[in-house]
Amino acid sequence: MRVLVVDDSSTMRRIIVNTLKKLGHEDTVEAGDGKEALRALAAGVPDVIVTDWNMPEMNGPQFVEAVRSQPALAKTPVLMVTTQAAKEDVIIALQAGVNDYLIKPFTPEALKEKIQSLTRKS
Amino acid sequence: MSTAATKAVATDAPPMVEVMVAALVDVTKDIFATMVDRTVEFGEPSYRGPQPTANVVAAVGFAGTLSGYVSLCVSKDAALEIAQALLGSSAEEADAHVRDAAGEMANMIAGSVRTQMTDKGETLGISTPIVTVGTDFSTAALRDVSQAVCPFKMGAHSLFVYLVLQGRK
Repeated sequence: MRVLVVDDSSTMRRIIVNTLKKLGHEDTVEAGDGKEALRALAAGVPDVIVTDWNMPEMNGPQFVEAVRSQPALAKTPVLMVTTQAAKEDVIIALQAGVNDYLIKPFTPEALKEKIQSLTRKS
Repeated sequence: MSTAATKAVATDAPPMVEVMVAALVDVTKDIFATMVDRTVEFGEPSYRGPQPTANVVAAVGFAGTLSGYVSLCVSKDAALEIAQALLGSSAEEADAHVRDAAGEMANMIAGSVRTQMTDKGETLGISTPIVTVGTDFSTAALRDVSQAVCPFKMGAHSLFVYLVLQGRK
């Protein structure tokens, strides 16, 4: 299973990638912002996209809208991992096309459950 | 909220600072337990500055119906331990991520406090983290602000969460 991890913080990308590796998901691709992620997506469709909200150039919801505008990516599961936890933030993310939402701080178990749930549904 | 925080609330500290300190204590304990698998013991808050002296200071500003900033102040050794635990990696790999790891911890603390304050009816945005690393520096709030220092113990390490709140008392 390939996971695209999108976050402007290299440290947060490393945290997520290391957690995924511990969960057995070795095949990961990283992008530092939405534009870089769209370039990565043009090279291949992952099984799951994990994205941050607050990023330069293109924020998380804008990135997800761009993903959903592409027919080939319309059904790719997207998990948003963010500190943006207000009810209205969740609504914005869901309206943009996010499938699930994980609020920081998160445990490895919580990330595992979300990823498993998304891949089961897809 | 811990006993120490409750006791502090009963003093003459400004109410909004008390509310934010209680939130800071809750979220800091939770974030350290969840993200770095460390128990942090809360001490006694003090409602005055300056920001505690530390080698690594990660600050996140907030603005909206409340404005100010929150900073996480730790020693270089504590920052390295946090980075290593956060990344689940070797000390060598973690060393390159000390700044960002402290910034991420501060970001999560501020983001979680923002959520708690939003639940209380406030509207806040938070800035990206700014991390200062050094051995001989100090900071000072230049305006008439409310301040609070929340001390914690993480094993042998002391760490502090510092709050500056402008405007609302």
